[in-house]
Amino acid sequence: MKSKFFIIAAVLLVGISACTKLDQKLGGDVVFTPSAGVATSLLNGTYNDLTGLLHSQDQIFSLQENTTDESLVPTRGGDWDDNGVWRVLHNHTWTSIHGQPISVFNGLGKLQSDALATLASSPTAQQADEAYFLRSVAQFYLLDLFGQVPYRTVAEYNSIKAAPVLDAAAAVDTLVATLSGIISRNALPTSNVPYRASVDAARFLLMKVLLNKGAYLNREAPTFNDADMQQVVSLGNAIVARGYQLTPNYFDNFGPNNATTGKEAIWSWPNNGSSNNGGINAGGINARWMMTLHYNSWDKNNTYGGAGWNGFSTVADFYNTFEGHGDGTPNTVIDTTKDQRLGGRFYPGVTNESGLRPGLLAGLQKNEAGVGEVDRHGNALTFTPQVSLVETDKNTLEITGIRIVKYPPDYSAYSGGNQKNQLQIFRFADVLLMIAEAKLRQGTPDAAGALTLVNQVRTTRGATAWGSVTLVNTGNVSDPNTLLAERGRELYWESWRRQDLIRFGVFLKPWALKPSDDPKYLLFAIPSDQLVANPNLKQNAGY
Amino acid sequence: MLVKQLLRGIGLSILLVVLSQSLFAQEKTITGKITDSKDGSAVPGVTVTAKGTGAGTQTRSDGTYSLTVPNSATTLVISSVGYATQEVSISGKSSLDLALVASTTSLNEIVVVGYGTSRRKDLTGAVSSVQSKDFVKGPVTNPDQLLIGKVSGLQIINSSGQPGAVTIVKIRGTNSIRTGNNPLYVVDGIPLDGRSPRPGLVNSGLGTTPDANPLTYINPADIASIDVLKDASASAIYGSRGANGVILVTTKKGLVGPARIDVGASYGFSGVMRKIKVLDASEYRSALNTYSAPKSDSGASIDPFDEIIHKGAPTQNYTVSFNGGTENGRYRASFLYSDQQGIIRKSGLKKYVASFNDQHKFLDRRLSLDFNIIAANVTEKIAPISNDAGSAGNIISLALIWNPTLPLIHSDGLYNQTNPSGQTNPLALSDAYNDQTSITTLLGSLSAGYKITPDLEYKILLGLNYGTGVRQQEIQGWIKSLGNPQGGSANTANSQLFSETITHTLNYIKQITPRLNLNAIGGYEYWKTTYQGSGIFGSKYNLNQSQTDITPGYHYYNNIQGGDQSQRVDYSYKDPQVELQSYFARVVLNYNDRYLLTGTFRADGSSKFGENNKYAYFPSVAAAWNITNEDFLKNNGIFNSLKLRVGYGETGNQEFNPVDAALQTQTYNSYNNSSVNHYGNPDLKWETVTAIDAGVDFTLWKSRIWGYVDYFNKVTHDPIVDFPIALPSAGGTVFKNMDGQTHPTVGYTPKATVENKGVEVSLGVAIIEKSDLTWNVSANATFVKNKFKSAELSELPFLKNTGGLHGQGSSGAYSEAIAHDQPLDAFYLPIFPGFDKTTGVQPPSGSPVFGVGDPNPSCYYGLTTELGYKKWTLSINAHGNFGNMIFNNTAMSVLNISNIIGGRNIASNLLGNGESTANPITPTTRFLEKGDYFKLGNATINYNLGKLGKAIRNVNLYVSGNNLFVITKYNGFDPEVNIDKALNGIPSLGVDYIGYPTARTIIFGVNFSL
Repeated sequence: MKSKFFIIAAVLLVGISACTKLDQKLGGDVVFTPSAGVATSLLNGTYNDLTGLLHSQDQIFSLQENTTDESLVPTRGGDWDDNGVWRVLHNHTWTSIHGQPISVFNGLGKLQSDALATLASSPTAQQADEAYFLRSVAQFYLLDLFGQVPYRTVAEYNSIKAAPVLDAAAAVDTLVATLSGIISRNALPTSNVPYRASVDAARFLLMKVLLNKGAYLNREAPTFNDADMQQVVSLGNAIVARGYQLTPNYFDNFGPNNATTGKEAIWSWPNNGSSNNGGINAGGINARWMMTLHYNSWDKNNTYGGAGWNGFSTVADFYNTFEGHGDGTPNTVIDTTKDQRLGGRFYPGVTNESGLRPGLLAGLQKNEAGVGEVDRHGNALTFTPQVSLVETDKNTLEITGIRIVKYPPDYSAYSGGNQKNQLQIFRFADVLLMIAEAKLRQGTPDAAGALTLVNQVRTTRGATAWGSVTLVNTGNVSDPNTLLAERGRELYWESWRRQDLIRFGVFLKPWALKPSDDPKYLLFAIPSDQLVANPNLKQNAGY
Repeated sequence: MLVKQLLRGIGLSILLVVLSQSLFAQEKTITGKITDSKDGSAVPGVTVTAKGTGAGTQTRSDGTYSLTVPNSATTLVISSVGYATQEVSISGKSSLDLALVASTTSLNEIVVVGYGTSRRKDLTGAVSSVQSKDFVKGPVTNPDQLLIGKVSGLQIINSSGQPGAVTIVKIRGTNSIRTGNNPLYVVDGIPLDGRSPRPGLVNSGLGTTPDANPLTYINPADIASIDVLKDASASAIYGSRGANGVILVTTKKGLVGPARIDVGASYGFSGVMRKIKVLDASEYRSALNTYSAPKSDSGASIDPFDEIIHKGAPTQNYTVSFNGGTENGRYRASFLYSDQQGIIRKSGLKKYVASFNDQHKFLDRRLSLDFNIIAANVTEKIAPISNDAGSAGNIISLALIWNPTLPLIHSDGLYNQTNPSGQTNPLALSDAYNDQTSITTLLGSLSAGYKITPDLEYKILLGLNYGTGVRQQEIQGWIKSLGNPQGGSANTANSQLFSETITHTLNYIKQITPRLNLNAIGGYEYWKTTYQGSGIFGSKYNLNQSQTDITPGYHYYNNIQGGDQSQRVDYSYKDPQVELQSYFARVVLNYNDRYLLTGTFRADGSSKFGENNKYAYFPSVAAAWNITNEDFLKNNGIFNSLKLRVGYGETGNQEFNPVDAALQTQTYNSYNNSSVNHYGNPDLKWETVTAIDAGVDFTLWKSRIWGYVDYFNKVTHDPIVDFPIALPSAGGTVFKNMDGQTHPTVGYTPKATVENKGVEVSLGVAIIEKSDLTWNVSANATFVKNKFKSAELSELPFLKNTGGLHGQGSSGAYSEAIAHDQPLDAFYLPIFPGFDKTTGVQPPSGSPVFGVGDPNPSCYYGLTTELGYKKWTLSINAHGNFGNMIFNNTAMSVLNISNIIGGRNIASNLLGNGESTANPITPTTRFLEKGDYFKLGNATINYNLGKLGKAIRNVNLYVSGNNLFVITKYNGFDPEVNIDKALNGIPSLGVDYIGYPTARTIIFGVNFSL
């Protein structure tokens, strides 16, 4: 009787179950269902992937600049060792565990992924081309930095399996096809709308792809195809025909009011002083000046110690490529006649606030009243050309190295809030120099046409016009009389230098504080966790 | 959903009642009195049960009992905490008086196991039970502190001195790579969520404040016992939540008898247990010369760290409880008020806890109703201390590095805010920073049991746990040089946690033959939890922008709207709901008290997993042999008991966040800006831990020596890892099982396992047992070796890095990694090359390597001794560990040599080490220090005054000290390090960075009854 009852009870107990399906119920998030209704916000989310990648001092900027002859971050006593990450970039000794390439690879992967989600969400024709453009930007940087491009088709947007991988040649073909499609469809705005893709931005990116194609296919010994160079010239001419001009005051391209004073923006990031611009975030451009300025550089809002991080510097070899370097009468309100890109001139809204004269900062730094500043030891804050990767002299470790302030600070929101300087991503002066370079590299070089364009840039900047132009001096990377050097002077700290050095065939040459090299450093290592996740990726040679 | 299940449960119980009316057999009643053999006094609360039946009761306050048993019952089992359990025949008897003999062993105690209880000697698994009399004494904020050093296999790391701070509790090593290594807590049968409803907070510049302890709302004086299920055969009954072990908290219940009131009061003071040695003002002055540093001598002589200390921080604690009842109805109510002020200014914890429980029996005692409720409010004041402050630091680092010759306060009474070296005045920061939370928790349950037959009982348990936290924080605008927005900032945030449980069980206890006993239980459980919250951030306020112009009582957080409209940020969130649905069963067979066999099985379904793997099955089996009950060992003169145990079991782990890994989800980050979080992994399945345990329990020489030894070997299979996903794909990572299988959706993932092997030993000795003098010592030690294995990853430098470093000179740096054939969180650092003899600067260090140190101790141990002389008792509890290393991130980033030229203080031990002030700050093995320690956790002297007049009984006076000292070579505040330095959801261990120092507390207290 009892055992019979037990059985009944047991059956009943089991019988009360199976009523919960255990369906997943989300809280704040929603299940992603691709549809036109979400395309706009997804596209904005895709653009926002760029803010950190392009603004931060330790992302694309660091990989493209600190690996070159125009930037380094010396270890200064207690600062900027960070486990050697900055040093190994400059002297080309990094390994596959370096965090910055890993972070950039992941960031570019996310940018591609978010562009795909947008493309899968029934975007309008314009939104689709914006997403294609952003995907191309991601693929371009992956190709440039890592030599391999994992990708997925739109139909496979939500796959989490191993992704197919494009080798350099296939990646170039894909980029050319996609960007040519955007240009011919003409569904985008024609010229620069801050942050938004435009036809001119697509033209610019296609110029970069074609100009570097020879380097991408053979990084140790690039060769250049005549038809590609012709196309670079015609794309460039199409941009020139849109009516861009060189900005008369070089630093107006970068100052707090560059949205209106700059004339060269082909693609830029808005930073319009608002944290939220219809769904687009401000970027935090203050890193561009804080990463290089000294702690005691003047910041009227922060009496002590908050002005800078005292890190990024450049070397004398680069400083010396500027015409007029080391002369002039510093700290007067009268501008000098030297190459204005070297800086040292009065900049309204900046010099009168803090004494800071944008450009390359060498020598004694003074505040707005003309009083010399001091470092934390109480010594004169005199930036010196001599610098080493690890500063060991306690008396000079804070002041070594020439600093570069390319973006005149927005003192209304110096280190907090939203600075109004637009980040220049693609700039018109580069178009002129790229056309010039392509003219020199085409099957029948057009030296005269190239010289005209180079001199157009040089004279606008206040430098002397050249009588002739050569591409590069492979015996002396720092030879000031080459197109490579001119690109350095015009585009320094704009994240192009590493690519230029590779394309001009001199990336592996010795230069200041990089005595030797190995061809493996022409590419960064594929992050090891990506190799595990995606067997289609192959580690780059040497890592 | 819950209502539906409730109705089904109730419907079932009604049905059972109806069906069972005619099922009772003939019965008889036994009465008697239970006394103490030592002095003949009545012992209340003794459990009296009829063996092989479900019948049982407890003695009243006068020691008497009355029990109705079936005629078939032949033996009574009489057991009580602190006494040896006795079995006495009742054949032909209607009354039975008995004198109990005090026991120092724990082998006969009643042990709470999942969904039931067991006598210790009937156990087949590794279960440790700590009764309230054996808890760690002295001031205790969180229930887990009651067990520190008491239980082998249980590692409790509780380094933060912030009252109410979170502890890390690990049972027998680390099973999971990701977070989710805490055991499951079950309070009176209700499984908890494990999260605290305190809103988290990230201050700009100051970093993330540490988490709160989720158990703070439990009154330690309400706890009757805590049982720890350590091996899989014991914890498999909790299936998917049992992999990390289970901690069962049982609260005190009313005793039969007239109402009795218990009162406890204590008052005491806290100070800093151990300081970090920095230069004092005169040493600093001489160091300025030694290092030819700029003259930053400002003339004063102060101890800045001393200034941020709350000296003699008072602690007070008051409890009142009353209980009583009859055979058919017992109750207990209690109330706690405690106020524990922290040793850092403006920190502390204030608690109000009320609890009430009631047990009633109806229908001839076949129907029992149990009601439990705990209602608590905990308010916490939090000092500006964070896990991950950058170079701006927090109050601890700011005080450590403040120039000791520079006054913190000017002669006019205003804070010195013009420190030439730039850093914030720590005392001003303390003043300008306000951060408080108020957490209200309700834990309630109703349980109904019905004895369908004397052998068969149905039970339903309904439980709910609701917690809500409100946090208010501000930084007043007059503070200078802090990385916060100009004009001050404020946050208000709230969060809510709500979990519900419903459990049905059927328990069948039957003497099948005179020698074979069966105890079987089967059940169904449903558990659901949700978590949500919201908050507002404001900044740029008008008021209180200058020290000289402060509006008293004006707090930004009470006036968020007073800030700049354009700076306001608001947010809300709700986590995905988690549901679990389970079926479980356990069968225990006992043959003649010699051979014991336990089998358990649980089927768990979870909403965390995708369609393909919602359910998983967790079996276990264990056997035990009571050798001393064999004829050949009877009356052997040495062994009082000797038991061999062996068990195998599989348990699961489903603790990972986010819990929506099986879906493709999208988040709106801000206005018109969204992104896909991740695409779904419907193949995700349970992480399984398989475990073997073999142990021996023994008592020797008239129970003067007792103990146990266990060998365990656990392997985590198919670990759930937030695995990198092949880009391009949303999120960058996806939760996958590292199972070496190719799945339809996620493709192939390499195979990995985590192994934890070890031995734990526990030994007690009653050295002196005289009527006036007693002395016993017990000790336990756990040796555990942990390894992550994934041969397929052996070519990679590592799978994941962790042990994030923070502060100056360590941007993006980390110190630990997970790699093949290394312990979890193994240190991964470059070797320190030493200083160059001429320059005093270290050459650039090489690449990081493994093998430089293991943050997991090779052994952790506890030691307890109790010395009784007449009415005096001294109890001492100590614990420690050895074999581990600690990365001293504070020494590296806060107290480095370059400070001296920047007008900041340095660590005393840097003097004369040959290091140049230009030496870089770089993470190397230089900052790895040995973490071995011995800590005197508590010492208490108690004086038992006994009766005071006619009304006041059981008067005890005591003085008790916590964290009296620590013996270690480690240079930080405390070698017990529990600072969350996780990277990307991978927990870290043993990285020490400007945490809250450990408090030493002395209290004076009194307990008495009315």
